[in-house]
Order: sequence, then C-alpha cells, then structure tokens
Amino acid sequence: MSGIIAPKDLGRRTERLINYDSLPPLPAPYDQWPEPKFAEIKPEWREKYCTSLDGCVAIDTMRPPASDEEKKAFVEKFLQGLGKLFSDANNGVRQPLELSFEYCAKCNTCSEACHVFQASGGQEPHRPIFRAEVLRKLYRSHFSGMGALRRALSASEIDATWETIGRLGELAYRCNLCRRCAQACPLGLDNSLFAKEIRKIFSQEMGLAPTPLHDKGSMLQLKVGSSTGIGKAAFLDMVEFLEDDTGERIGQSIKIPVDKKGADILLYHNAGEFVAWPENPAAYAILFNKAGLDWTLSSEVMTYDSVNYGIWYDDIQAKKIALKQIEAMKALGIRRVVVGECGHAHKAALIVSDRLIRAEERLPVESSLPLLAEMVTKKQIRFDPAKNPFPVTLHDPCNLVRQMGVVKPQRDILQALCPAFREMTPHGVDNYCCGGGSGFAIMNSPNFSSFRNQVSGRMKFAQILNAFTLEMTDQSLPKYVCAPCSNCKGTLREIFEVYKATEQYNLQYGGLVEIMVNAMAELKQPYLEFLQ
Amino acid sequence: MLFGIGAYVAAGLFLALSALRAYRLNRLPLHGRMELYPAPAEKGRKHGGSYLEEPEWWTKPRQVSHMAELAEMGGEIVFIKRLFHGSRSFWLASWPFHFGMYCLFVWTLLLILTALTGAGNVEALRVLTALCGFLGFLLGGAGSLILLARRLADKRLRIYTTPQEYLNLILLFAAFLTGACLWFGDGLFSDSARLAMRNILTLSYTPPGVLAAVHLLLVYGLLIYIPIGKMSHYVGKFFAYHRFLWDNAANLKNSGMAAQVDRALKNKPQTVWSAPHANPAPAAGQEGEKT
Ligand code: SF4
Ligand code: SF4
Repeated sequence: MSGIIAPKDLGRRTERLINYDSLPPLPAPYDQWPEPKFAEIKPEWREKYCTSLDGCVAIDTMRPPASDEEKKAFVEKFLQGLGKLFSDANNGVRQPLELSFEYCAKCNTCSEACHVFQASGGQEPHRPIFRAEVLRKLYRSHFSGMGALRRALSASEIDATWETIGRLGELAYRCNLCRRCAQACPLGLDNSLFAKEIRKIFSQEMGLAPTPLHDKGSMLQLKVGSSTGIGKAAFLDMVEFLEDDTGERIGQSIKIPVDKKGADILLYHNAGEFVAWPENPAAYAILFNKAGLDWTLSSEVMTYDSVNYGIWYDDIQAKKIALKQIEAMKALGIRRVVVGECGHAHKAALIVSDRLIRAEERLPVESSLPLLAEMVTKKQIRFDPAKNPFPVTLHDPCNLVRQMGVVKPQRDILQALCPAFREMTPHGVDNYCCGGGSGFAIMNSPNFSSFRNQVSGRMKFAQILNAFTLEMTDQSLPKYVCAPCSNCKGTLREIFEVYKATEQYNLQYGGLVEIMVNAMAELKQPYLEFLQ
Repeated sequence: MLFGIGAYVAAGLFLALSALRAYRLNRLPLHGRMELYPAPAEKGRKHGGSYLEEPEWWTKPRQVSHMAELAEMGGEIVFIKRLFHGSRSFWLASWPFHFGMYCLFVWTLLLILTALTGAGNVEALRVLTALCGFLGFLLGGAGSLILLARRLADKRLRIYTTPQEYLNLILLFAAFLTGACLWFGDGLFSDSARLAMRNILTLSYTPPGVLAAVHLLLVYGLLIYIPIGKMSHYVGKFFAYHRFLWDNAANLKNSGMAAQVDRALKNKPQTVWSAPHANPAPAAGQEGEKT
C-alpha cells in the first residue's frame, strides 16, 4: 500500500497493509549482508489466520469469519469487550488507562522512543499512538455519551469492520509492552496499555489468544503446574541429572536441595531454564551453596515454575496463576522467595501480584540479583576476573530494569568480574527491549519469528553490534552478551541464529550467574561452554 | 456589569471544574502496580534504581526524597523536560506556548494586585507586569500559531489530529491575538488592562469596542472549556506521574498501601468478561479469588 497509513485505513480492503521490504540497515559487519528473507505467507494461511496486517501471524486462534453474520458477531463481541475496559471489570487498570486515553497531545515524542516503530522504518501502524488512536475512535463512535457532535469533533471515522478489528488484534502483538514510550512521554501516558488492553479484549472477552501464551502457556501451567508441561516427577529427574552433569563439569560434586523443610530461601526459577539452559540453575546452585545460603528448590506444583504468561495478555489468567503460586509457596514453610533470572517472572511475583492479595497473606519476594551482587562486593566467594578476559556487554531486561528499578546489582557484578565489560548505548532504564518482550520470545509459528528476529529485535541486535564494534570480526574472540532473563536469552538465541552471528563472529549470549561461576577462583575448568 | 459577572463566573467555573476533574481521577479505583523508573523519589538512586535493589528490601526503611520528586516535577512543568529531550522541534513550539500561559497567569495576578491596591504606579511592579504581559502574549501567540501550522503542514501529525484539537489551538491563538491587539494598543505597560481589571473586579466594566468584547468572551469561554476537555492535562499530568508512573508503594503489612488494598479487595466487580476461561472466575479486578 502506498502513502501514509492513517488509523482510519486500518480497515482498508487490501491483502496486506504493511511490508517490511526496506528495513533500516544494521551496523557493520551486517551492513554488507543481505537481509535474511522474511517468512512468506502460504496461500492457505489466508483462510486460517488474519494475515492482512503485515503478513505475520500472532493470534493463531483467530479464524477469519466466513459469513457476514460471523463478521458482525465478531465485531459486536469486540465492542462489548471495549465497553468493559472502562467498567468495574477492569478496576485494576482504570486510572492509568483513562489518563492515557484522555490526555494524549499527539506530540509523537513516544515514537522516537519506540524500537519497533524505528526498526520498522517508521511504518505508521507501529507508531505507539496508532493503536491508541484507533481504540479512541472506536470507543467514541460507539460509547460516547455526547453523540454526533462529539463524534464529529473527534473525527471518529473508523468503521468497526472485521478487517479493522482483526488487524487491530494482530497489531496489539506488534508491541513488546516494554514501556519505553511511556518513559519518554511528557504527559506521563503509557501507550503500551492500549496494546495490552486490546489483547485483553481478545482473550478475556473473545477467547482469542496466541496458542503459546494461552493453551500451551497459562492454561497448561494452571493444569500441570508449569508451562513447560513438566510435572513433579520429571522435575525431580531433571534436578538429579543436573547434579550429576554439573558435578562432572566442575570436577566436584554438587547438591541441589529440593523440598528442604524450613529453608530460608525458595529459589524460584523459570522452569524453561532447566530445559533450555540448565547451566543457569546449576550455576545458581554452585553460588548459593558456596555463599552458604540456606536455600531450596521446590517440586510442588506451581512452585517450580515462576512464569506467569497471563501478565502479557490476560489479567484473569495472570491473577489465577499468581494466587495459586502464592498459596502453594505458603505451604512450603520457607521464609522468603528469591526469583532467578527471568524478567517477567520478577515482575509477576513482585509487582503485578503485589496488590492482588492482602499483605498478611503473602510471603516476601525479592530479586536474586542483589544477593548475587553481595557475593561479589562482600567477597563471600573468591573470584578471579582474569578468567573472564573477553569482551562482555549487558542487556537490561525491561521488566527487571525499567519496570522494577533493579539496575545496579548486575553492573556491580560485571564491573568487578569482567575487565572488558562495556555498556550498550543506551542502557539501564533507557535500554531497548530485546524484541522478545510480552510473549514474543515464545511465539514462533506460523511465521511470527520473522517479525521478532528482524523487526522487534533489530534495535537490540544493532546495539549489540555497536557494543563490539572493534572486536566483532575477530572470530577467535568470544563476545558475550549477558542477559539475565530467560525470555531475552531465547530472543537473542534466535536472532544470533538467523544472522549466523555465533557461527560467523563468535557472538555468545548467556546469563549472569554463568559468567560469575566462570570467574570462581577455585574452579579448574571454564564454566562457560564456549570456552571449554 | 455583565462582563464583570462573567469574569467571576468563568474563573469560578475554571476552578470548580478543574477540582471536579481532579476529584473524579482521584476516585478511580486503586490500580495494580505499574511503576516506571527512574522514579525521582528513590533517594540516592540517580541511576534509576529502586528499593528493590536491596537484599530483603522489606526489612529496610524506605529512603524517599520528596525534594527530588518536586524538582523533577518542577522541571517538567516549567521546562517540559521530556519533550525537550525527546522531540526538540515540537518543544520549540510547545515550550513558548506553555511558558506564555504561565506568564499570562502571573500577569493576571499582578493586574489584580495592582488594580486592587493601587500599586500600579510602583515602577518595579509596572515593569514586571509589562514584561509578563508582553512575553505572555508574544510567546503564547507565537507558540499556538506554530503548533497549529505544524499540525497542518506535517502529514504524519495531521492524520492523528482531530477537529477538536485544531479548534483548541485556533481558540487559544484567537485569544492571544485579540488580547495582544487590545492591551498593547496603548503601549507595553498594560495600563489599559489594569484599568479594565479594576472595572471588571468592581463589576463596572463595559467593553469599549467589539475587540474587547470578543477577547473577553474568548477568555471566559476558554476558562470554562479548558477544564472539561483534554487541555486539562495540568490536572491529568499530576495523576499520571504521582499516581501511576511513580507510585511504587509496596503492599506491606501495616502500611498505608495495605489499608488501601484491603479496602479495594472488598469491592466486588459487577461486570464480568465473557470468554470461557473467564468464568466462573471473577473478573480481574481487585478482589482476591482463592483457588
Ligand atoms: S509522547 Fe505522550 S502525549 Fe506525546 S504523542 Fe506520545 S503518548 Fe501522546
Ligand atoms: S511499549 Fe515498547 S514496543 Fe510498545 S509502543 Fe511502547 S516503546 Fe513501542
């Protein structure tokens, strides 16, 4: 489609509204590389999904309505949900939502801050206020109490058609909910709210959500205790295997306590770590044991997986999971909960669930990063920074940093243990999202990964390349991106694969504890696999 | 006399409607935590950190700097800091416009003061009044005109701008323009404005011509219109920062927040969501479902 796409064009009858054929160039050495091909839409997908936004599919459960009646019912259901956003069904968000809904000055300061908008080459539908403006117009057309005059004054000329609403649903999954735009807004408004609220209408009212988040995510977790599908017995097996494997790897036996009664700390991991990056929970075990902490893992349902996918798309699911987790933890007899390297789990356990339940009814929860920093700053463990001579940079997970203010502990660690540590630009609370935030990291099929790897993850990849400008082409030198978050690691893994960054340039990624263990003076062998 | 009464009514409505808006926003239910960093009240954490950087944070006293928060808010109000850093070209129009408004606010107060006390002859006050008036009308007028022109000229801004937003800028510009023509026709010193103010306050003002009548009607109309529309962001901005982005109060036993949470949990929502998984669970409000 040519010309600037305005909010009213969202319903335009065209096969595809956005093309990604002129993405901004990446820094060297990728300025010399052809851009990997975007996954193409298969013809049959048009019958099964809404492909007409940008050719990518996030809501794989949204079938295009077959008849006019179905289209009408689809739109009505959406509008019904839209009305509920401003009702007591949505009390937990109403004040921020109404502020953001009412006061936007359309100054577009937020657009400069948005990595998706910038990385898409400034495609209008990715502008943070685009979704908000569509929602405003739809709301004013259908719910405004002041009738025709108000409609005329607010130019509510958007038709609520299947095309508009279907694309709006998809568009809600082109925002990482990273809230960098909110940080930049002079009026303190938050456009990520609109993406999240649209997702909520789709899920909570229309029953439509991406399968990895809902059916294979929060529903599975509520059923078996973990979105990985791992049950208690399998979890115990994995821990046992981890003890053996890690013992071999570091040349000394290691004990991972599970279900230890009366322990001070429950260490709360994203269970995906045990499957994808077992060296991370193993490194935690090494450090916690060495620092003499009284800790345990738990094999009880809802206490060995800290994830809560609900916080990305559905408040009801988020709340159900959070409350079940809290209840289950209380039964363990531990004193406090310490969250491992997972950004969204941090936010779910410390921030989102904070006001869901009476203060008396919950256990204290904290991040593991301050504890880890103490191991270094208080010299609880002996480290040798010379073991980490290679260049290291740090990715700041949005949930942990911008949305929780846990900024310094990880820097204290890396500055002390990595002589070649350097920051990305920008960093800390001003960081860019990895591109996998809000569920994108686990959404792959049918072709959503193309959007994540090449658009939403683009800014982060560019930042990483810029952090290693001088060393990038030296294949013999590993370059380590420390990402203390499961979802961010998953995203980096995919980006590095698509751009062959590890293969060609020895670009590595991993967590914080792994690089700490690698620097432990007493270990004879390197802990990081790429050094072995 | 009518114009005198009109001034009191318009000013009264401005205050009452602004207060009503604040009251309404304040009454909205307690929301979940959604803070964003940097939060300036976090003492000693200029890097953007929070109390969550402390091990066992709930056992340690909160270090809060209200001064830092006030300074941040002040910078935002007077200088529009975020716009300056994030969108310089917009700031070049928006800041003069807002600063012009502030100048006119001070100008009005000075006019009232000097009209009531007869201090209009005190040279320093006279010069200060002149300066505020001159800067106010100049910056406000120029700012609103540039904002309007920008919206019309920039296609990407135009597609988001509603007729109401154009109307707002046109009304404001018209008020600045008519004001500048009216009060500075006899020089920069606001003497005619002071005299008019005295007559308005004592309900004895009759506009000397159409220009004065139009200007005052515009000003009175704006005073009533501003608090009912989105130009009332002077109220919204307070809530957006203090009750939303910087609200990181934890729900700890015996804290003020715990009391608020307890109250909120008692409110059972009447409206429910329709998706199958949403039922029979209660809607995502504040009540605590125990499953
Ligand atoms: S920065 Fe804030 S006020 Fe400006 S366009 Fe974005 S949301 Fe609206
Ligand atoms: S939350 Fe992040 S991705 Fe979404 S609009 Fe804002 S800056 Fe862009």
